[in-house]
Amino acid sequence: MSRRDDIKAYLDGELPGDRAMAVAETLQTDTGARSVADGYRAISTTLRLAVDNTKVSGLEETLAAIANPRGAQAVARSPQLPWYRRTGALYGWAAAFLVFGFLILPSLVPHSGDDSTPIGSSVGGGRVDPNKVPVADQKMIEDSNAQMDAQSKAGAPRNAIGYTGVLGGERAGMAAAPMAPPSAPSAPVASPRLVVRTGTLGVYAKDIDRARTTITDLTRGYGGFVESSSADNEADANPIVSMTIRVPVDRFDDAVRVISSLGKVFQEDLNGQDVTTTVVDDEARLKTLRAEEDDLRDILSHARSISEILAVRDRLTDIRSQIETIDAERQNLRGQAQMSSLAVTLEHAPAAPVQVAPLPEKPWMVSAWTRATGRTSAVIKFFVILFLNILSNLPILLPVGFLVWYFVRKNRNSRVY
Amino acid sequence: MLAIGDISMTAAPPDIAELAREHYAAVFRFCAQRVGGQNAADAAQDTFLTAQRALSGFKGRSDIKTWLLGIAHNSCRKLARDRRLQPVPLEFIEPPEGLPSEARLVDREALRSAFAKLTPEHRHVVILKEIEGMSYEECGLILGIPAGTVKSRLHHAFQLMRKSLGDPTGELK
Repeated sequence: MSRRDDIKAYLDGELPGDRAMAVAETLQTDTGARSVADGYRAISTTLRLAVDNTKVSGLEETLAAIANPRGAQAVARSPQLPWYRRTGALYGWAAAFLVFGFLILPSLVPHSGDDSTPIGSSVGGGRVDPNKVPVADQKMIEDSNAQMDAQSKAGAPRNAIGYTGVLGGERAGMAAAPMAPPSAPSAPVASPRLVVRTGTLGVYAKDIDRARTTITDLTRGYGGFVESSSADNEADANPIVSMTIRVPVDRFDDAVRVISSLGKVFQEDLNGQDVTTTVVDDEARLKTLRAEEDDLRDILSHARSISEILAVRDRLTDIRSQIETIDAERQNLRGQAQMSSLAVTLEHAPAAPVQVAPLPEKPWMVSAWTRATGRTSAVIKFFVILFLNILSNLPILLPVGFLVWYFVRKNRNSRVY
Repeated sequence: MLAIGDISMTAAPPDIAELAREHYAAVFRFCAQRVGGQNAADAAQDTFLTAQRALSGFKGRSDIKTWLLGIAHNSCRKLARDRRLQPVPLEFIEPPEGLPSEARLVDREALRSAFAKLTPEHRHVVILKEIEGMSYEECGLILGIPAGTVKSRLHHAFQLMRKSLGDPTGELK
């Protein structure tokens, strides 16, 4: 330590004898040290002129507080900050907001949808947000949305799968090319689409037997057939008849219209599934498999060893099995696309509902008590959830809280007055 | 005035009311230097209420006034923190007759400014030593730090004030 570091202590008389003597010698020989000492003396002398002119007050109140320590708060004169504005309370508020924001709120707010919603969900008839799907699919979805909007503006009814072109178009007499979008007249003519039409129709009919006969005759007249027919509670006053009819696909909407006119429709669910791609794929696979079959037959005719013959025959059997399966599927789809299926339920209209007298209103005190207890339980539930959240996050919150407390404390102690 | 010897020889602890009557003015002024005159009464009252609770634990290792000022120091810190008080600026009186000539004093406005630039730790030791006139040992007892730390803080505080006042030799080495 330099002698100059001891000058202040020397001036205050706080140095031991030997060090004081050394500093005294330095002050005699070193003009710079003497200048420092003079400066310190001047500052010290001026500081001693500092006074506090405040009149001493509060002794009586302090004596009263000492005599009655519990009443000390009453004799304190200067108002303190309200508890919620004190420093500790502010940190408490901040902690509470953090806990609420990061731990409680996410568990209370439901998730706003799944971004991985497949594009196929648009079949349900709703719009799809293009921003939630990959860029490559956005164009297609935007086109689809635009088409749906255009159809909606045109007043076209929407069927159960959300495709308005089929039912609306055909009911307006557009029987040809049922799946073709109505707003694409200038598009190149595509091959006829294969659409499997199915539906469910529920009708309240006054005369169920007559309606059943009408439907049977109608089906035959259209070139179709009744696939199944059953009657429940036939002996009762409220029989229920269930029928499944198959009609050519181009007469499907006519059949729906005629059956709907037999009474009041209480259920209508019409669907269309485009199977063109599936059938085309099947035909392509069939073509390939048949070519392979021909090649294998050629190889078989030239095979010489038993092992070769067995191997080729195994492969031929496998190919033949695949061909038959695919061919059956293709024919089935074509059949479904040619003959649509409609399930019809015929019932009597239900009797008018019995008017139930409303329950007598509870007294206002009972209602208020019920509401109050409900709110109380909600509050208790909230705090229990809060407590459990804090408890489960304690391993994280404790170290963080300790660090915050440490730095706040350190900062606070260094900046007060 | 009660001193260390008085306390140690007394079997029963001193009466807090008597202590308050004797030392209230000193404690009040001490508090006024730190939290201002408007808050000094509250800090002083809090000091004596704390002393009342802690009196039975007083071992007499220091002067009773020093002990009280140590409590007052903590009360002032707590009050300043709760009420978010700003440092109290120094107020000077005109130099009385008989003091050294004006040449040996520094500009009071400049000194007030230099003092305000000090850290709280430096301000505390300067107030206790220069204004309250306490020894290094007493300053250390009040602030809860060793006397050597008081000496070091005072040295640095005076160096900084000299530098702020424009003395080129006041630079830290």
